[in-house]
Formats: sequence, structure tokens, C-alpha cells
Amino acid sequence: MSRRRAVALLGLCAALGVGAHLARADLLDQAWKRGNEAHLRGDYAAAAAAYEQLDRQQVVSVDLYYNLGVTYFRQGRLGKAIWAFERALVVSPDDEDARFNLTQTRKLADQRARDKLEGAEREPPWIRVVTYLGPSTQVWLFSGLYLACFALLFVRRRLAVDSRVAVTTGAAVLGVSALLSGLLILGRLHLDRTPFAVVLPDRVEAKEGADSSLRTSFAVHGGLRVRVLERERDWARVRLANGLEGFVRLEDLGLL
Amino acid sequence: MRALLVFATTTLLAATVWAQGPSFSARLQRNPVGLGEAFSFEVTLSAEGGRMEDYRAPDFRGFRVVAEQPSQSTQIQMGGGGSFMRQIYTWHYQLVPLQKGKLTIGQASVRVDGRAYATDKVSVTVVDAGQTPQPRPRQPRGIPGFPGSSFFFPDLEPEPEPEPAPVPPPAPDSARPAGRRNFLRVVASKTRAFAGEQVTVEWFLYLTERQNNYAPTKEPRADGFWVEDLEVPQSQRGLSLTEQVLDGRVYLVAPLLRKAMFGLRPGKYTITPLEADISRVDFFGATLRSEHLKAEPVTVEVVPLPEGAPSGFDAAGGGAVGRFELSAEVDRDQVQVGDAVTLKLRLEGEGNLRKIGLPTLSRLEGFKVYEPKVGVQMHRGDVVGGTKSAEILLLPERPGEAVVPAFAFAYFDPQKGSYATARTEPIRLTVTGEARAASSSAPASAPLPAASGSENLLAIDVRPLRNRASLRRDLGGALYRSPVLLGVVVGPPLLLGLVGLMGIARARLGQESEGTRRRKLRHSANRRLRTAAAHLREGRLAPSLAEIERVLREFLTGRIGRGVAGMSREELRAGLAGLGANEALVEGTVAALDTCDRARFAPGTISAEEAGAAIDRASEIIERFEKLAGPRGGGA
Repeated sequence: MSRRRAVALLGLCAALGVGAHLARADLLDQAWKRGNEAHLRGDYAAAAAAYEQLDRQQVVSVDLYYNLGVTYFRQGRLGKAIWAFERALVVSPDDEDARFNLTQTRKLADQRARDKLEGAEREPPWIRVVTYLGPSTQVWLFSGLYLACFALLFVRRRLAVDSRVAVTTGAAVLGVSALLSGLLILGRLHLDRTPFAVVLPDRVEAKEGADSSLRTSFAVHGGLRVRVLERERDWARVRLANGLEGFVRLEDLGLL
Repeated sequence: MRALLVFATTTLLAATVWAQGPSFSARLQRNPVGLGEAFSFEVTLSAEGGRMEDYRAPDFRGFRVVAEQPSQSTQIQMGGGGSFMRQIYTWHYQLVPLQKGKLTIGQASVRVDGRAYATDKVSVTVVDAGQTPQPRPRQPRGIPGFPGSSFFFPDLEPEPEPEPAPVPPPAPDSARPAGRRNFLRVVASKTRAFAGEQVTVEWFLYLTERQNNYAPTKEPRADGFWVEDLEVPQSQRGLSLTEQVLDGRVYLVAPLLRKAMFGLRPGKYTITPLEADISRVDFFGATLRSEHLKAEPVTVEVVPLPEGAPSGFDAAGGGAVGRFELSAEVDRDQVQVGDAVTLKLRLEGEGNLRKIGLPTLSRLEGFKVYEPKVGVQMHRGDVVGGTKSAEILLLPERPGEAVVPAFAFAYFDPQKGSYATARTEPIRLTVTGEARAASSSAPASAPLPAASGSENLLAIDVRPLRNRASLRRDLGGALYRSPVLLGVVVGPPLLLGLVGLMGIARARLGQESEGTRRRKLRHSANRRLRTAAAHLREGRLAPSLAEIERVLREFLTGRIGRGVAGMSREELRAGLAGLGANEALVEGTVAALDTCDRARFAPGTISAEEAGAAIDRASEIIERFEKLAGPRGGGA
């Protein structure tokens, strides 16, 4: 194959890829607009359906989660609203609107039913460190430092031996920083093995095992944050902040 | 090891038991029995295979056989010693003793594989009716595979009873239609009641012998009543039977329907009859005979409530009739501005709670009052009742003391025939904090306030939608769970390593090209020397020497690395010395180049012999330089 043909083939593939990406973006924007318009005219069910369609397509967007939360709130589905706002804050912990709405929704949910966990403990420090930044920020930070480090290493190859010291030092600093930010990502990936989740229905009974006929251990209410320890068929073993454990259906949980 | 031992022992014991021959026995439901009271008697044959034939029922002299029902089942047990299967044949009899004293039920007999077996005789003591402990009513068993069937033969095995079936009151003679053996009976707790007062109507099935199927064909209709269905005790497979003597005859009685009826308006109303079919089937499920039954209609007169209703009695809505208690409580009596208090109002008692409204709290000074969340829990025992509650959310708007007023609920007590009022105590609330501004915005889940004030109360709400033109996607968030991130991690070091490898490869390739270049140089020199020799053979001396000069200059330029054409003789000597050539070789090379120059500028001064010698000398010079180590380390 001649070089000209190879270049033409690569160009065609790139054009197809870009075209497919643009077409998908267009479809996503249509669903986004449909949801917004439905919400603004008060058709919250249609709005939620449009936003949920986007969510099912693995779209990661703080705006999507935020609007989903507002729509659920208007529908009175407070558990789901809390879940959506929590997701928005996972993606963007500094989102002030999402934080405010989450606080408001929790207040309203507490007026319906409040789960007071006796002996609840704070999350361990490593979890607070790992989740201090959103995954997006962590990924960009790591990628930037990491790629800059290697860019300097490439430059270093071109330089004369006596002018390499400064570049080597810079690459080392960038490399250490990339390593630290990479550890944050690794910590978050480890946390994702036993992720946090939010109780979605107004009230859920936690059973002693993965069977609805078993005895009820305790009951929790919509919006409570739990940790999923393991999954067994369509059940999840969850742990509350005070260490209580029980089994609830996966469909009753929104994973963060 | 111990578990293994236990398992082996158990298995052997089971095998021993199961390996026993046929067993044939008879048993009584109870002893003694009352005269005229029905009781059960059962004969059982258990055999491991074999052919059963020639069964003869016992001699029931002194008893009347009310019902008889054979059945057959198979039991299979599997264990370490193998699997065992037994056939169980059972004959159930329902007997009524006809005389007092000690009676004897004779032997039953049967043949299994030609061998005869017989039960023992069973003695029964018959006493006066009512002197024996009343047997617990037993749950009937249905025949599997018959939907809706109710096989009315009581089981002899004890089983848990949830609660006894209601026994109908003694029936007047008119309760049994003349000439009918089986019939439906309807019983109303009263035929004259206040509007809103409960009238309980029950329907019973009376049978003289057991049936296999019962199917209602027409449900009773009660126009003019609010109807609540009451619970009817039933077994899992059919109706619950008790025995009752009517007109000297033993009946099996089952409750069918129980309904609580509340008259809506004064007047006379007729409850239409219940109709049903009953039938018997044979051992294979084929219908032997069926019968259509129809109960009598019931007329109830609903009378109006008396005059003198207290204020607050909702006469227009039918009014509350029954007996009630009212209570009110708050989840906390000290609260901060903006934090909600839940007021719970609870009405508990007997009566048609579904239709009864609770007292309302329209407004409370200093509070925003939300619409109540109402729930009802009904109990359907003999008397309909339960609890109706309302949760009212109160949102304090300013600090201070407040009092939730006492609630009153007026009702008519039909048992006393008078009106009464249930009351609660006032509830005091303390509100702390600072007064807040307010808004009218509230989520769909939070109902709008029932009371409107002059202040604009801002309830709990969220910030509005983000209505951007296009969806802003978070690429970093998507990358986090994407394999692309792995590419970002692995790519740069791979690329760096690849570049390093390519550098090494290029260096190695460069060394090879030097060798190739020298080989090419040597080949070129040889070719030019052959050309010079050809020119010489043809007698063209000048071109021959020009070719020799060119070959020398090209070869030396390649070895020295610089062009030798523009070099002075001294520079040339220094360059050749730099290649490691000795003085003789240097001078010989310079002399050869001088010879070529001379031939170029004075062609006639060179003879053919000198030209041939020049070719030989040039070849020798090239060969000798080839043997020298060059400036790049090449050469032999």
C-alpha cells in the first residue's frame, strides 16, 4: 500500500469517527432540550424520562444530574432527587447550586422521615482525601502532569548533555506529582469496589438476607447514604454509617 | 466421623422401618363421644407395593355412617440404603352413634398380594350429648386439582387452627326450607338500625352430608348500604365446618359470607339472596350429583338519627355513628423558626371510619399550616372499626408561644341511643429563633398552605433548572471509567521506549551504511580502473589518465571525508598522513596525482607505458589505503 493510500484511509477513518461523534452529540442535545422544555412547561414525568434516557447512555454531565435532581424534586421523589444531586457533587464537588439543592432536599426529606443513626462515624480520612476532588479533576490533573513529565523527557533527549539538568529536575517534579495524583485515582477506583449509594424509595426495609421473606433487620428512608459491600443477585448488602448491615434490593439503591 | 456414623445409623434404621411389611390399622378421632354427635373414624393400609384387593369395611352396628371417603397416596423416601416407596390407602368415615353405652366397631379386612390383613376391633364409649369435651373444629381439606373445591371431610391429623369458625345462632324452624336437606341460611344481627349503624349479615351453608364442591353463583346485593366485607375463617383448601343439630338432625355448617352494612339513608332496604351450587364428585373427579341452593332475602329498616345533635355533628354528611376516642399530639413542643412540627390527630373506635371526616385545623397564628396527610387502618372483626389519623405539618414563622387548640368530635352512640363528643386537650408550643422572610414557591411534593397570610413565606425549595442550549458533558468524568485513561497511562512510556529503541536501531543501521558506502567506493574505483585500462588498450591515453585521476580523487575524498580537489599538496599530504599512511605511500599518491595532472595539461609528454604504470600504481594505492584503518574505524 502506498503512503498516499494509507494517509487517505486514515483520513477516512478519522472523518467517520468525527461524524459519528457529532451525530451522537446531536442526538444527546435533542434529548437534553426535550427534557428542559418538558420541565419548563411543568411536564416533569416527560422531563425525567428524557433525562433518564441520557443517563442510560452513560453521559457524564453535572448539568444532567443537576436537572434530573430538580425534576425529581418537583415530582416529590426526594430519594431520587438526593441521589441525583449527590451524583452532581461527585462529578463536581464545587458545584454550589447542586450543594444547595441537596441541602434543601435533605431538609424536606427529614420532615417526612428522618433516619437518626446512633453511633454514626465519620468516613475514614483516606476516603475524604480520595473524594476531595471529583474524578474529572483528578483525571485531568493526573493526565496533565503525567504527559508534561514525558514531554520533558522527550525534550531532554534532544538537548546537549550539559544543558539537561534543569529539564531532568522539572521532569522529576512533574513525575512525583503525577504519581501522587495517580494514587488518588487508584484510591477512588478502590472505593468504587464498595461504592456509596442512596436509598431511593420513601421507605425500605433491610432484610437479614437476600430474600424478601426473611426477617426485617431495620428500615431506612429515602435519601439515606449507605455503602454497598457486596451484591448478591438483585440484592445488595449495605452498611450504614453506624455499622448496621442489612440486605436491600438493588433497584432501591442509586449508586454513586 | 461422628456425623458419618449418625448418618449411617439413621439410614439403616429408615431402611429397616421402610422394609417392613404392610400395616393395616384403625383409629378414632376421639373417645368418648356424645350421643348424636358426629365423629371421625379412619382405616389406613400402608404397603410397599403389592396388590390390594377385597377391602371390607368394619361393622358399624350402632352407628350411622354420615359420610365415607376413600383416598390413596404414595410416599417416597430416599436415603443411603436406597429409595423406598409405599402406597397409603385410607378410608375415612364420619359416624354418628345411635345409642348410649359401650359400642364396638368391628374389624376391617383387606388382602395384599393374596395375604389377608385385619384391623383390631375399636371400642367407643357413647355418653349423653354435651357431656364430652367439644372437639376443636377442624379445617377441611380440598381435593388437589379441583379449583375452588372444598372437600368437607375433616382431617384426623391435628393441625393449627387460626380461630374457630363463627357458629350460627340456633336456627328457628323456619330457617330450614321445608323438604330440603341442604340449604343456605342468612342471619342479620338486626333488622332495624340507625342510619350509619352497623348491621352484620352472615350467610351459612348447611349440609347433611359432605360435598366436594361449593361455588357461589349469585352474590347478595345491598342497595342503600355502605358495605364492608368481614373476615370469614376458611382453611387453605375450602370452607371451615362445624357440626350443629337442627330438628334432631346433624348438620355440617360452614360460614360463607359476612358483611358489615351501614345504612346510608332512612328507609326499608332488601338485601338480595345468595345463590350457590354444591356437588359431589367420585374418586376420579366426575360429578355424581349437584344441587342449586338459594338463601332468603333480608329486609332491614334504617331509621333516622334522633334530634338534638350537638354542634359540630356532621349531619349533612351522614354523621359519625359508633363509639370513638380522639387524641392529638405533636412530635416536639419546642421548635425553631423554619423547622416543622408534625401534629398527629388520631380517631380510634368502632364505626364506619372510612366515611367519617376528622376535625380540621384551618389556621394557627404564627404558623404555616399544610394540608393534612390522612390515613385509615380498618379492623374487620365482628365490629368494623380501626384508626383514622391525620398528620398536619406546622411550619413556625416567628418565635413565641403558640397553642394548638383543643379538637372536638361529635358522634352518635347507637348502643346508648344518644350523642356524645370526644375532645382533646390544647397543646402548647414554644418557638425559638428569628423570624424569617417567606416565599410562595414550594415543591410539588409539599402541598400549598391551607392558610394564607400577609407574609410571603419562602418554603423549602431548590434552585431552578439549568437550561443551556446544549448538554455540557464532562469528558474527564467519562475518561475516568474509560479504557482511554489506561491508554494515557501506558502510551507515553511506551512511546519513549519506542523512540529510544529507534535511536539505537538507527545508529546500528548507520554503521552498516558506512560499510556499504566503502564497499560501493571500492566497487566504483575498480570500475573506473577497468575503464582506464580499456581506454589505454584503445590508445587513448588522455581519457585513461583522466579516469585514473578521477578514481583517485573520489577514493581519497571518501577516505579523508573532505574533497581533495581544492587541496594544496601540503593539505593533501596532511590528510593522507591522518589516514595513517606512511611517507612512501603519501609521496607515491601525490606523484600519481601529479602524473595525471601532467597528462591533462601536457598530453604529449606521457607515453603508453607510463599510463599503464599509472593504472597499476593507482590500483596499488587503493589497495594499500584499504588496508589502513580509516578515520571512522573501518578498514582491515
